[in-house]
Amino acid sequence: MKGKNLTKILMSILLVLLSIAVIIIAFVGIYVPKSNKLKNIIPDYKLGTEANGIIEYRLVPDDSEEEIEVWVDSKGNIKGYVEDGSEHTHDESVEVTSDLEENTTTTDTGFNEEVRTIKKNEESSLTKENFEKSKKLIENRLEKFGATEYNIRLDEKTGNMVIELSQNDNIPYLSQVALLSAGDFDIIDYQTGVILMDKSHLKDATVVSNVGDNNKYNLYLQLTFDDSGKEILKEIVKQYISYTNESGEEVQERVSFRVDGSSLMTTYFPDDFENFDQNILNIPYVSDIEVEDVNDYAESLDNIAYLLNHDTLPVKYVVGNSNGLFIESNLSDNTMTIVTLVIVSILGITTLLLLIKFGARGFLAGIMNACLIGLVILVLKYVKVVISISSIVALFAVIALNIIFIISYLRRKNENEQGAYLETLKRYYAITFPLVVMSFIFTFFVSASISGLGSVLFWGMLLQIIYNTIILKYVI
Amino acid sequence: MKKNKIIFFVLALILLAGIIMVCVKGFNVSLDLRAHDTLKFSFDQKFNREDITKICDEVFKDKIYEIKKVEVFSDSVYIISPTITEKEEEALLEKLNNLYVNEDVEATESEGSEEVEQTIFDKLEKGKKYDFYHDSKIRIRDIVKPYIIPSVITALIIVVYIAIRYKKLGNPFITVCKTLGEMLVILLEVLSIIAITRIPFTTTVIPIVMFIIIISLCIRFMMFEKELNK
Repeated sequence: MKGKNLTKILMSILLVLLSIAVIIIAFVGIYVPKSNKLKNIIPDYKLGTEANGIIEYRLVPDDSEEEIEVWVDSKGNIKGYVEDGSEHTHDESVEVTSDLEENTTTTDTGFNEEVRTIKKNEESSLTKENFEKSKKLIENRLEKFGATEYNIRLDEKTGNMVIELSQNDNIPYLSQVALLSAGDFDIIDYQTGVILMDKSHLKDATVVSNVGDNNKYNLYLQLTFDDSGKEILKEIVKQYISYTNESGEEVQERVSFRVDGSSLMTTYFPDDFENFDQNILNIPYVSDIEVEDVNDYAESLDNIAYLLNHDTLPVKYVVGNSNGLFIESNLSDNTMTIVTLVIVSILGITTLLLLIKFGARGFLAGIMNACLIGLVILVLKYVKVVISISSIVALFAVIALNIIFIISYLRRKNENEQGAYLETLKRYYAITFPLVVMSFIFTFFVSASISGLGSVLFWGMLLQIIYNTIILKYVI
Repeated sequence: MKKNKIIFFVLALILLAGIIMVCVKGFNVSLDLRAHDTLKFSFDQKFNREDITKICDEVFKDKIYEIKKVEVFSDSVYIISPTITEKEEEALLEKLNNLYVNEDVEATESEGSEEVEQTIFDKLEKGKKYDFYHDSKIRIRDIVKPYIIPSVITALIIVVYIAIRYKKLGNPFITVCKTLGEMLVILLEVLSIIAITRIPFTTTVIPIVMFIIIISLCIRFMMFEKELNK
């Protein structure tokens, strides 16, 4: 019996020493010499915009105009931009025909070539409704593309937008794809620039993949067209099938599948497409990729699909500051140091009060409590939970909850209650159920202030139950 | 009973005062969230916040303003105020432009220069040295929106839990409604206090209010547990 007690005392001393080590590592760090300086090898907090500042983009409706050569139909409607790189084919451009067997020589696009002044945004498109719609589309894109924190200020009169993003996000990607992509789609004749089909016929875009013989992956953008789109596609395929002309040369007229004017794929159709009669077309995006790269490519392709599945931005924007402008937070650089000092003070005072109220057992509980909070802080640093004001509030809540738990347990223990720990645990979780639910639900959301709050509660409460059940119960 | 009446009276009074305050003056939305004017000024060097504060104090007097460091090298500043008049803008530009000017250089320049009256707007290049923006507000509903779905899911789970766990305390529907009603009152009281005390409404107010409600809910659960154990 004596030996058992001695082992327990020794183990308790060891645990207290370990706890003190954890507290020091969590609140001070581990410093090692590196390049003649001492460097803390424990990672820093990942701070949110409130403490870390924002990247600001100022978007202005594009008011530029330029004179462009365009294809115009008999009614004066623009049917495409004359492609600069394909002048050589202007005069022998394609005529839509299904009779390839007769080897019709293409002579005309059927449209007139005109020079027109094209405004990036027509006056009629600069309306409050369109500004609002653009804001909504950008908001949805930011959420879809994983922006953890953002704010949008919209001037309803001018359409100007100020977009604030977090430094923790992929800023170049977000600015390029979410803010500036119009999300337009068309299929054009590569030789002439004539638009063969526009986005209105596109029903759905999705990502599909297959595995090649070499066990490598190929990713495709699968486009599904509506009924009229299917008919147009049939004609396009017929027209752009490669064929051999009278002089025995293989002729390959090409089409371009474009997103926002940039080609996704420029191709002709092989002979086996002759009887093509589908409304689905797979556009190869990337081929022969390793399995570990599939997710990255698929995500980027999925984002393209998202743009195509949603409306095109009704207003074209230009960004005033192309790289974004870093705006420093008004919180002091020492905010986290102050927070850490406050936490250490609370833990110190709690330990002292527990010592006064419950004696040595209280002191031990105070040290264990500080160690638990230290562990929570280390986990938050390593898991890279975004620390915002709401996460700091959650951290204080975790501290308060554990103190309540410890006091409640010590009281029961002092009263020599049977099964004191289990009873405390039961009562504690019955009461804190709303917080447990909140911690689970909030963790799954992208928004940094929500997931940060949820994650701090989640890790705090998870470590609390594990730590208290294994260590606190043993020591006290 | 009398104590309860006093509590109800105080709560009703706070609620009424809060409603009146919101109707008359609204919440004290922080400068960052409301529409404001922004003057951006670029120095050719790092600046001291204290210097800018001194200038802003002189120009704005009692008007509220905010200073923000801009760019990685902190050589530009944003001065934000609900409105910046042309006179204030001119005064700010004049003072900011002269802030870190080498006096000797200035004296030599002024000796050689022709005596042409130039305003500060003529002297400085807009878009390069300074910029002026009318920034719109961030809508409160945009800030609240991300919290709605997680809060609704959390609330639904808690409601189901209350109905199951505390069914012995009476009709579950009444228990749930009573709890929701109490939480609604707490929410309105907290919002009233924010409106009355003119605490700036920032993005952090929402999670803090949510925490207050969740903690109140935990206290309610504690009372339920006590009743259950009776």
